[in-house]
Amino acid sequence: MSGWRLSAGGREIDRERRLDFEFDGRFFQGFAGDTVASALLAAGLRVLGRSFKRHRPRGLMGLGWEDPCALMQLLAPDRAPNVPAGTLPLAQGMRLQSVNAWPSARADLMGLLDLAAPWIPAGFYYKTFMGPARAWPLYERLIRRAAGLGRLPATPSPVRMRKRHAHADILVVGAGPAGAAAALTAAQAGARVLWVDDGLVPGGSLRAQADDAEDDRARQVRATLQATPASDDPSSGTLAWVRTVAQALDALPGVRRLSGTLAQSRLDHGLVVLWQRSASGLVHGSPDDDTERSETLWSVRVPQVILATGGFEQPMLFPDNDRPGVMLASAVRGLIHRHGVAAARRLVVVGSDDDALACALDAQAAGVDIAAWVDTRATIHANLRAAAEAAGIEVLAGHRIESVAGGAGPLGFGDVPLRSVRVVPREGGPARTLHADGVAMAGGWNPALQLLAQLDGALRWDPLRGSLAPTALPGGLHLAGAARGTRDTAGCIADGVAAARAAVGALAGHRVAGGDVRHAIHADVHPRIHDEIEADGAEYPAGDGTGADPPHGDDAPRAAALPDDGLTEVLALPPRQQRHVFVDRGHDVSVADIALGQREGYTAVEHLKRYTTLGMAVDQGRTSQVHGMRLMAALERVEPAAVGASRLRPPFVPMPLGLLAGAEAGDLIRPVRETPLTGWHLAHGAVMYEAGSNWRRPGYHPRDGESLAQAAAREARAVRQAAGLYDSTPLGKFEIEGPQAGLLLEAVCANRVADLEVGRGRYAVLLKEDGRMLDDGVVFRLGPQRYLLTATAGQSDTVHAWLEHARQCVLPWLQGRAVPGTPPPADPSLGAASAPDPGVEGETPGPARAFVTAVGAQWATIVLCGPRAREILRHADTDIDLERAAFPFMALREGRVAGVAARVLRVSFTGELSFEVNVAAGDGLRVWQALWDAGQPFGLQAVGSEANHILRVEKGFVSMAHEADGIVTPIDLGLGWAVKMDKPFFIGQAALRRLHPGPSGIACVEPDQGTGRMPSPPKPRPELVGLKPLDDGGPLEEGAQLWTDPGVAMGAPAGGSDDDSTRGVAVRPDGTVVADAWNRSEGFVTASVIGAGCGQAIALALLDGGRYRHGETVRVSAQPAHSDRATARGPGLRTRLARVGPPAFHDPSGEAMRG
Amino acid sequence: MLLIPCPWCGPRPDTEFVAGGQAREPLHAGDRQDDANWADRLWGRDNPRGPLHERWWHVHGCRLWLTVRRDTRDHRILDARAASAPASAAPAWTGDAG
Repeated sequence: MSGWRLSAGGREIDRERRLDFEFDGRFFQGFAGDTVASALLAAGLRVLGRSFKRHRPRGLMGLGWEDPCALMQLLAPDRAPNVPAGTLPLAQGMRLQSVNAWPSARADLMGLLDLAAPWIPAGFYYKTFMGPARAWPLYERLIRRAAGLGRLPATPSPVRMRKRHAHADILVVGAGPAGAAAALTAAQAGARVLWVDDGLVPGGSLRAQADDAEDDRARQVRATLQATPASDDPSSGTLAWVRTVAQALDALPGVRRLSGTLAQSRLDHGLVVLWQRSASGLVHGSPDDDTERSETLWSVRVPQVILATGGFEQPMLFPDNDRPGVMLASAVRGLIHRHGVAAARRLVVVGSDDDALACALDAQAAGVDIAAWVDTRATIHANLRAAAEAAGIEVLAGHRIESVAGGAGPLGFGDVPLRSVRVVPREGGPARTLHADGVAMAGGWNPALQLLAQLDGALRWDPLRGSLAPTALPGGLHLAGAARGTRDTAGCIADGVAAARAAVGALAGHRVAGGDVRHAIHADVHPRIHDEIEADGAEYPAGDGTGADPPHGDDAPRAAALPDDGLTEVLALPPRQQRHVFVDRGHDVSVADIALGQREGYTAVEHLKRYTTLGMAVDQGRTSQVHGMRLMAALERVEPAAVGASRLRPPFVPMPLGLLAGAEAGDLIRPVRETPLTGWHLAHGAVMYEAGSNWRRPGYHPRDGESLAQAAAREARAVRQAAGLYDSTPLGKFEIEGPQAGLLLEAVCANRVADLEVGRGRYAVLLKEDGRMLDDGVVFRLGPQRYLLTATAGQSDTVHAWLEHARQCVLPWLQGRAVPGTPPPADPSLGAASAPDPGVEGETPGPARAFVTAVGAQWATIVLCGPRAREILRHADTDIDLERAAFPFMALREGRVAGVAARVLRVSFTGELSFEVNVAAGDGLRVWQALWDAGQPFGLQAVGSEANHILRVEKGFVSMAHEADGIVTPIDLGLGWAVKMDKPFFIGQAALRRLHPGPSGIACVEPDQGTGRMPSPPKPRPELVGLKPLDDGGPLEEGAQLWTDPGVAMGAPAGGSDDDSTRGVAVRPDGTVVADAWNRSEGFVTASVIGAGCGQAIALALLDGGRYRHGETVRVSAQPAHSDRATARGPGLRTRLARVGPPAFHDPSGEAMRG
Repeated sequence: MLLIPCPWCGPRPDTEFVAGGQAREPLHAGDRQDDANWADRLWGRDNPRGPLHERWWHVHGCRLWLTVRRDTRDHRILDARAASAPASAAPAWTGDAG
């Protein structure tokens, strides 16, 4: 075996507490404090998964979110795909599976795919599976099965998903030395600090390092911090100091520290989204500490953010650099120091960075043989070389790895250790074979600046640092520590202090929306510290954190030269080898793929990313973006800065979608709105329908195996012959009250409403500015300054916004004010609309003096309709005089129904005598039941929206979204009588004038006096008509198109002539010639039913110029007429003939509903 | 994600608001314009790279319609006022210069 548990060491594990877990069906033990990665390596495992595309065996590469290789399918206790093993704290009873392997990671049969590597390069699927097109679904299924990583869990998460909000002055991300210094400094200055760290224990990169008690410089910097907690032992190392700081800050009321928490997204206006992972268990400093397993999505608004996020170590490029056993130096060190696990017996350390030596020394001290320190740099600092040689470590400077042997069995099977590494001098010379079962890579560090780049920051290649760096620091953002390019602990602490001071200073002058809410700095609480901060600043070598100083200045502790890591030499390798030099292990992108992308012209960094999928894997390019960019620069012979860095987007790491949903899952995604009568409906067998705005109400009530059509027809007949009871509660209802309530309604309604008598109502249409219908409803006058407006259920939210918009935006404008930047209207034709405000003189201008209150859900609305409705209501204990003379159509009466206060409206949507009984929602069921009981002797039936639809179609009443489809105007729908063009102003009036230019320049809502016809606009409008099919083939198809019937119109046999010159020419009864009638749909069927009164198939339709075409015959078809002959050869769409007529099939004079 | 400064309620997250598009003068019957101008006024909206007057409705709050001046480049909100306030009045809220 390769890895093993050291007999001592491992600061984070508790060797007294053993935890059992299962991986790929085998059982293992680890210690509390282990990660899955450390426990599996301690157990001697090497192959932990298979790669995305080529199914290559993969082991652990990194210990954090940079690891693209050791991805776990977590099965229990939580469920998640693709979690890096090093980020997963071990738990008792944990069950895990390797990803993308069958039957297991050690013996994955798909591993043979690696042999096909030459034929499946980047973008192969764009080129390979070109045809036949119908085979693509098969290809797709096969590719999807072969590729990919973990699987989405199919069952709901057992973990509670929570959402929380927090406010803070300063967010410190990272709990390394820089983050600790920043949090401490900010907290001591009195700022409210939110301090988050990905790790369960604080320390950052110090956790993966030997104790630094010998680091005098770090101790000195710490000693200068007046704020260092009294409990700090000055002789201890920095890691102990960080822990002391964390403990001290946990006790402070203004500080909240969240461990196991990732800062995921930095969004607009100071919003930062945090993911507190389930494993973190405890919420430090929060009132609801609990051990319940939960994941929390925190939304935090913070004006100042300090990124002490550290960096990601970069791998090296050499053939087979993805073999299990090849890992980052930081992972080797972390395993030793955190978990007491050695990754290998004998290690080759390869690097281009001094961390290689630190890794070699750490591993050696833990008992690992060091085969050699291979470094691509030709010269290594004499002190470092001396240190290595003093430890007996051979230094191979100016060397690179030529090949790696072992790490995978024949055809990729088995869990085989690395055997050896061949190294060659870069300048040429004899190769050497170093026996080793592990390789540690130290390719330098790239700062973790994802949060910076997500929003308003950008990164570019910085040749001085040999990594990416910000082009500029966004406002309110500060960098500290390795995120700023600082490498030594003392510098990191100093960075943290400087960043916190800059943030505190910025807060002092910070204004957030709404005014100066300077709750941040309480100088009186900590005057000493505050003064201290005010006083100095020059003591620390770090920058001022204001962004003026990009972090590569002279003070950067190690202003590195160009990275000398032999990166470009791999481009000289033959393609056969380049295919094995992995850049992005997450998506199996090799150097050969990048070279291919370059040859094919995908040289822009974003093109390269999409073509090769470089940086698109689970790890989002943390270990591949920089190499990919530099390889492309080398291929293009430009500077890496010229290639640019691809855009980084939130979130920082993949997180469960369930977390974004939180509690708003399942039924709570969009809560259903139920009326007070829902229980009754369900108990009476109602099939519930969506009624708009997520309301539910009965669709129909099937009895004894009735079909939908049968039940709906029966209910509709009951309304025509006896009575029906309908739940109309979802109807939108608004009360508009105030001195200018009438003025407001006059502006939004095309009809005239302000002249209504109290207790009377009128049908009203609301128009959009383009003259099309927004909604229709009724307006009733409740009092001198009080009105009720109803709205379609599905439009009620829109109407609410519309009314408030009219009240607050349109009316003030009408009264002579304007939106910023536009002059007030000066058009005299506005007439009375621009007349002076009739309100109080000298009053401060503002919205119209009326209140709009949405009262829809306050009322239960029960419609009792049918010829027996009056008798039934009379038997339902009412004190309202129901006689026609006392309570006429379109009147409103208040009184008692079934013993409770009721508001009864005589409105009708069915064409029958109808009473709309409104009672307080809580009384709804009682009143419904009373009406139901009273109606039984009269044949009362409960009706649903299906029957309601039949009845209103038969009556020719329009419905929003059926007839009023967003294209037609009320005039098109025959509602011209409800449009008063002579009013000074209503919304949509100007558009109607243009759409319907009448003889007098006013819209044509009246027939022309000379001809008796409605004046026709220049282009025929789609107009509402009624249709009756000429056959007895049942209802017409809703949505079917209408075509001029050339055969009938020209008097020629149906089917027309084969002569193309006359084909499709139609002559209308009025003499107009339609040239291309066969190819031009002239309208469509909007609603089609079997009438309840007439028993015939009837339909409403919109037909071009339909107002003038009553009596004409049209074709009703879902296809152009000329396809008739084609469909005649086989079953096809039916083309039927229908007679055009007025849109009214029942009681055209309205006697029934007025009765 | 935006934090919209409601003159009545203070800074509130945009999830409490409904976006109302560009703040415009209502169309009125006195418009005597050619079709292109009319169509532009009816359907056209400015899409500047920079400050834009826009309307937001604080529906899950005080139900005030706001006129907000937002810089489309960085979503910075420059000022905000009740939509019914006269254009000559000072904004209820003026953003940070920085």
